[in-house]
Amino acid sequence: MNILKLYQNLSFKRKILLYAASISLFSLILASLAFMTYDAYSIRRLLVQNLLTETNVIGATSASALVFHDPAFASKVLASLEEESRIVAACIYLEDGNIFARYVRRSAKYEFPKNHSTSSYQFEGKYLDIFTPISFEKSQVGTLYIRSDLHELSLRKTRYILIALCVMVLSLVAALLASNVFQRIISQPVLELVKTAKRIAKKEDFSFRATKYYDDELSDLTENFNEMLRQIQNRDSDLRESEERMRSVLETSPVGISIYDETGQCFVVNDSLAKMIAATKEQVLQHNYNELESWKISGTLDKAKSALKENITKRHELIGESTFGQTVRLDCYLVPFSSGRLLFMAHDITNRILAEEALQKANDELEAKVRERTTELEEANTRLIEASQLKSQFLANMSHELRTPLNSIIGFTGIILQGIVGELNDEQKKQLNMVYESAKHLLGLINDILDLSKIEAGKIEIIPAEFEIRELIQTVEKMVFPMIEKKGLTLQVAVSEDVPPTIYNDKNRIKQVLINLLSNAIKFTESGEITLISDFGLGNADLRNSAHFIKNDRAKRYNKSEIRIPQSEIVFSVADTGIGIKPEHLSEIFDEFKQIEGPLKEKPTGTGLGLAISKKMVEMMEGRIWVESVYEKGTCFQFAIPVKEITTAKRAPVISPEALDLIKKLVLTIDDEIEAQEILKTYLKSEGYEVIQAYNAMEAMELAKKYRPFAITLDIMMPGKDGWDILHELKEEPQSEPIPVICISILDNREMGLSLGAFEYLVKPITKEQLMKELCRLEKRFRIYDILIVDDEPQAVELLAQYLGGETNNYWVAKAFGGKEGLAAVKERRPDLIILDLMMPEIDGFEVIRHLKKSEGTKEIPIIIVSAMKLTQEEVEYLMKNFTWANVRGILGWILGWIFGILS
Amino acid sequence: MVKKNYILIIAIVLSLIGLNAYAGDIDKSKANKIKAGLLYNMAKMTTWPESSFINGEPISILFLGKDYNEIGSYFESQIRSRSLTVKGRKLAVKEIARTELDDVVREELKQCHILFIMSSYKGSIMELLLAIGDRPVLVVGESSSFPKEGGMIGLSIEKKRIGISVNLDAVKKNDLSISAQLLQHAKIVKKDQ
Repeated sequence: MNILKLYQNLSFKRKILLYAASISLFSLILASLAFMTYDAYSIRRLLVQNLLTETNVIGATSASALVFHDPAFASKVLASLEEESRIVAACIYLEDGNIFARYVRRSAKYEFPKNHSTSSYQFEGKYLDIFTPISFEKSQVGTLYIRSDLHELSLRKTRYILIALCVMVLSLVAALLASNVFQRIISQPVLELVKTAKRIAKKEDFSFRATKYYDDELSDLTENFNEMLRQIQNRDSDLRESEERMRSVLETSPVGISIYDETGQCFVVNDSLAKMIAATKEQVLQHNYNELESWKISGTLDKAKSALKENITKRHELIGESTFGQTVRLDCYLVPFSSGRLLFMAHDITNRILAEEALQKANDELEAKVRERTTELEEANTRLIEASQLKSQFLANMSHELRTPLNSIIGFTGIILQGIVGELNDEQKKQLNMVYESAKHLLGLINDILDLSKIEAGKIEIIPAEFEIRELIQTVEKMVFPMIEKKGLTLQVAVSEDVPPTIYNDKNRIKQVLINLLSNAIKFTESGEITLISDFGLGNADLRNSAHFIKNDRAKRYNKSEIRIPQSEIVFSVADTGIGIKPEHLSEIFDEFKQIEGPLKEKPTGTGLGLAISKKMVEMMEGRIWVESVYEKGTCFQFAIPVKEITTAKRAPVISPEALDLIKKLVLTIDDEIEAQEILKTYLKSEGYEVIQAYNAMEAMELAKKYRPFAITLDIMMPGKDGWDILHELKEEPQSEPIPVICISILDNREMGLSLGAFEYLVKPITKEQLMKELCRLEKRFRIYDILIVDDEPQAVELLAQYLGGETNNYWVAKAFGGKEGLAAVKERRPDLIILDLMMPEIDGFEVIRHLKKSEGTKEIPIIIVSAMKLTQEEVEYLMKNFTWANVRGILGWILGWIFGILS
Repeated sequence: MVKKNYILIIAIVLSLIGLNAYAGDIDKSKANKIKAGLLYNMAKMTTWPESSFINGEPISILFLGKDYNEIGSYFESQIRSRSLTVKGRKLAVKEIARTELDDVVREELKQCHILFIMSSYKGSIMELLLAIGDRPVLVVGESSSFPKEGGMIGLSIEKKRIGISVNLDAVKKNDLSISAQLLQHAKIVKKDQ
């Protein structure tokens, strides 16, 4: 084992050499031994063989001598063995054991052994003895004995050993030489690695690299080693860098930082901390927190200890004294490291505390002041309100007071002008007229002021009622005509077809606004045209045919409210070719008392209140008003009044049929071609459908989802996303899915269309009749049914209405309390179904039926009779004859089922 | 005592002489045994012509003389006990206790292959030979001069050995041949003229 140890600690080079040498040595020795042994063995055998052969020969030769008793001959034969130097002695034994003939080398003395008589050989020390039987004619007649010495053998052995030794030595030398060469190849990379590692360790420099030798596993190792060094080097430099950064952070940080080791000794501190406690860095570095009084007193030491123990960061306020004796307050963090070290970070909050206190004080003062002010303001406010009220009252009183005499003036001058109390001459007329006009003007002013103050006082009310728009416009037209004529202007009036015949709103207020706008237009236009247009719009779309002289979008958009909920609106527009409004004035135009110069640069007339009042009115009606103008070209004032959308409330309110119509019959036309769209629009509009148009897939989806039209017409051949895609999308979207789609295309692909979920597929060109037919079909399928409930009991009506008027149902419920109302309702709007109670005061159910039967338009209306009354036989018969009936009130589900049945 | 020593020496010398004599000269019975052995081996070394044997006929050996018991019986017993054969042929032994050549002898001569003339035969060798003539018979005698007289093989006792003398001419004359293995140990003689 010692040897092993020795070997283990040899140098790498020597190991390899020793390894090579020992291997070759061992193998040589083994080989030599093996061969030698074998050789000795085979030589012996050979020897024996040889000798045997000789003995046999001699035996054979001397056989006859034995037989024929010729010892002389035998001796002679034996004597020939003289030639063989190795034969020491030989003899021939007779069968009885006596020696017949003998030979001894150099006639030395030799004692022959006893006869063995069988063939045998024996190595006796330095000699080989062989006994061979001598046979004559197949029978043994004697034995031949030969003794040979082995000196040849031993000589051979010696020679062999010598040679072997020589060879061993030589080969050992050769092996060593060769292995020396090869070991270099093996050991060089290893030694290189060793060398490099040593160098790096010594110089602590990771920039050294090991040289790569050859291309084997060791070279791979070298490469990896170098790679590792590279990484270490990088990491080292990164580490250094980050250390530097840390250091700079530490130093530059306004936060005071110090680090204490496991014994509590400070070994890192930055300037900030030193400054905080008014000490030098060197002084701080001598601190050990276990001995710091300031830490002990302020409880910081305990906190630090617990932070270390629990291994969590603790916060603490250290109140201590700086070396100059000043009170120092530090907001500190005690951060423990697992190694037992402690990081101490501190903010100097001495100032902060003071600041906080000062702030608090200021805050309190402010609050007091605020309270003071509030009381003052409250008082002022009460005073203001009083003042305003007084003002309004005053104005109202004064206006009234002013108006009364004015009315007299106007009245009487009017009478006089009319010549009722006598003739006037021209001059008188003229002057009196001036008085009249002035009085009227004054009245107007007073009215305006009164109006404004009323508005401000909130006393103006909007009283909506149904009125006919067209009538109103005509009235307005008539009113302004004289003014128009006088100025030599022309007035164009247009009311769009889309505008419903009646709307529900405050007629007078709208009139007022219109008059105001028109008079302004007239006032500020010297020549040209005034246009009054009324249109029906959806959403906040501008009047499509507005401001035909305004091309630039930029000139618009003042005071347009951004209402984006879809509502139906009536939009009125008053356009003129007057002096226009400068852009900078546009924003002020609706302000009170703001006036613009007249066309001839004369002083402005009027109170400047007109537009302000108009604006207030419009806004009270939940509309919006705006102006567009191009200076010196013209102006266009527009205001939009919403037409309240009819919602399908649970209580199914009585809504204007028109509104009903609108929502029921909205069709979305999707086509990229304008002509096609226009054609469709014309068809649809003429039949009372409302149209919204989409020119591409995106618009289509948007509008479909937004307005949930009653039907969609869809052109298939469109660029980009074609009709099929749109159809697919429509049917995918839950909001648009139920809307029936009529595909319109040049190509006939009905199956595809229907399979994708279209209601119908029409091939272009289509006629109006075709379209209407389809829409009728649709209506029948998807229409919303008008159901009229006629019952004098309100609860009954409400109950039924509730059931029917559910959001998901397509029933519009109209209520009539009593027979009379019922008939009136029918007259007003033909219901699809009447639910009729029989038992009603005044005009009962039968009466209603009779009436309905009379008229063509109403006799076909299906009626469901709901009654608890016991009917007489005749009555039953009558009813049975003319109607299908249900008589059980209260089983509403059944009734509803009936309804479904009848209607579908 | 001096006397005793003397006696001892004489005894030793005498015994030595005796031994020597013994060792030196082969005693008669031993010689006869040897002769018998030789006879057998000689038979082995001799080749007769094919015609001399009829159908597996054994080799017949004729012992002539009165001292048959000396050699002949020994020979026979050896043959018998060891079932010896010569070249696959059995050996048949016959004896004629005559010392002179007569018709019986002549008759027998015609049938033997080997004739062993023992020393007790006193007759003329030449007559015997003539009686044999050219017949292939191996004629062996007991004296060294036998071949000189015309016999083929003569066995004689010499000092340490049995001498063999062979007359090759006689052998050849009778269509016999003798192996060299025997001849190399024999003295080749010629007939005395």
